[in-house]
Amino acid sequence: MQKVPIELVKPGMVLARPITNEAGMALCAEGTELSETIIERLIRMNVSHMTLKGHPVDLGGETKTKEQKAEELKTRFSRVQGDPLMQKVLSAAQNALIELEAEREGDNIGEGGHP
Amino acid sequence: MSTKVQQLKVLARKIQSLPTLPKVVEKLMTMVESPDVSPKDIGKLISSDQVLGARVLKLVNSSFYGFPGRISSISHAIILLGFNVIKGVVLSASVFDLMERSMVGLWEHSLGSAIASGTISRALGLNEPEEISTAALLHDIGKVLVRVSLSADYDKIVDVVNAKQISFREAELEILEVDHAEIGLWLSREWNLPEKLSVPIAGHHDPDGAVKFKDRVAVVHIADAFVRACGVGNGGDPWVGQISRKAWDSIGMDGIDLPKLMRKIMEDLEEVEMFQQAPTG
Repeated sequence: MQKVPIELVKPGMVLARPITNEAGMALCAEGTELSETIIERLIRMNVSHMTLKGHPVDLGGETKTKEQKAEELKTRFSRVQGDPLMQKVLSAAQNALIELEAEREGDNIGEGGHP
Repeated sequence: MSTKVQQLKVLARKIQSLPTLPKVVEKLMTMVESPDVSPKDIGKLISSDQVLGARVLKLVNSSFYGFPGRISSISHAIILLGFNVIKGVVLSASVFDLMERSMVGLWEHSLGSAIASGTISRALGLNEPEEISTAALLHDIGKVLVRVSLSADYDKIVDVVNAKQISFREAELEILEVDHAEIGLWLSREWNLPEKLSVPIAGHHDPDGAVKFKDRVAVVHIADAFVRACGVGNGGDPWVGQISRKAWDSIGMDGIDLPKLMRKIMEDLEEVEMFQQAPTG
């Protein structure tokens, strides 16, 4: 999944999330394969960004690595270390992070499956 | 206890005026008290302010109310979600208007807490998950008041958080002697919010002290920590706070699959980022 500004969207890319208007109504459904016509229409509706399947555009290196994300997650729990309940919550969050990251990677290769 | 009351009175005097709510919101607050007002009347009133109307629709169409992208009008929203939810949503849509510009992190934290509360409530099968989400949306409203009406104190609190590496709430207690939960309660009384919303606002840091609506308070308390765990938004400091074991047990959190729930919440929270990117938004 990748959030991309509309200027970089090309026909053939697929929406990972619906596009909604300012009232939150869906303009374009999740899973839609974008065509030239649809992209033009979205530009006319002032849509600025959309979330695409996979990782179709190289936006430069501003994204955090999964190691960085895992490290930050641990730091956020630094004040509740040693508490068994909070340890359980931390493990669940670590798990979720690993799973979602793995899914994203799978997405990028174009398999979309779990390891 | 009484010193807290006194301190609140001092603050109230210092605050001079509350953040001004749009006329429409003030009208709405009195209107919903009347027993014979119809969803249509209220829908008309809210829609008369186009910006507010659009914001309300955007909020009710977000996934935490369970009808994503399907609510086309405000009167429709009222029928589906009820007056309490609409009241809370209208309030947050106007109050958080201030935040979306100056406190994006807190706005994201609030939206995230609403999403997480909805997911937790549904996983537990609690009644009225929409109202619990709305309480979560408003849970840090006291922080907005401090920022808007006591801005010198707010800056001091931020400095103390950074200097001492303590939580925002601890810093509030140091500078103001009351915390944002207390201030939020006071504010919700000034605004006549229903107890279903004001009690979780007041109790989200002390769920064990709640007498009423214990379930709702516990959910908001836990959602607050989960959203911090996921690193979404900014609640004033970067840390996950201690979850009350008692609150956790009281709503039977051990009965649900925590890793699955956390994964769902982390996925759902991606919507917070999406929220900023609708056209013209």
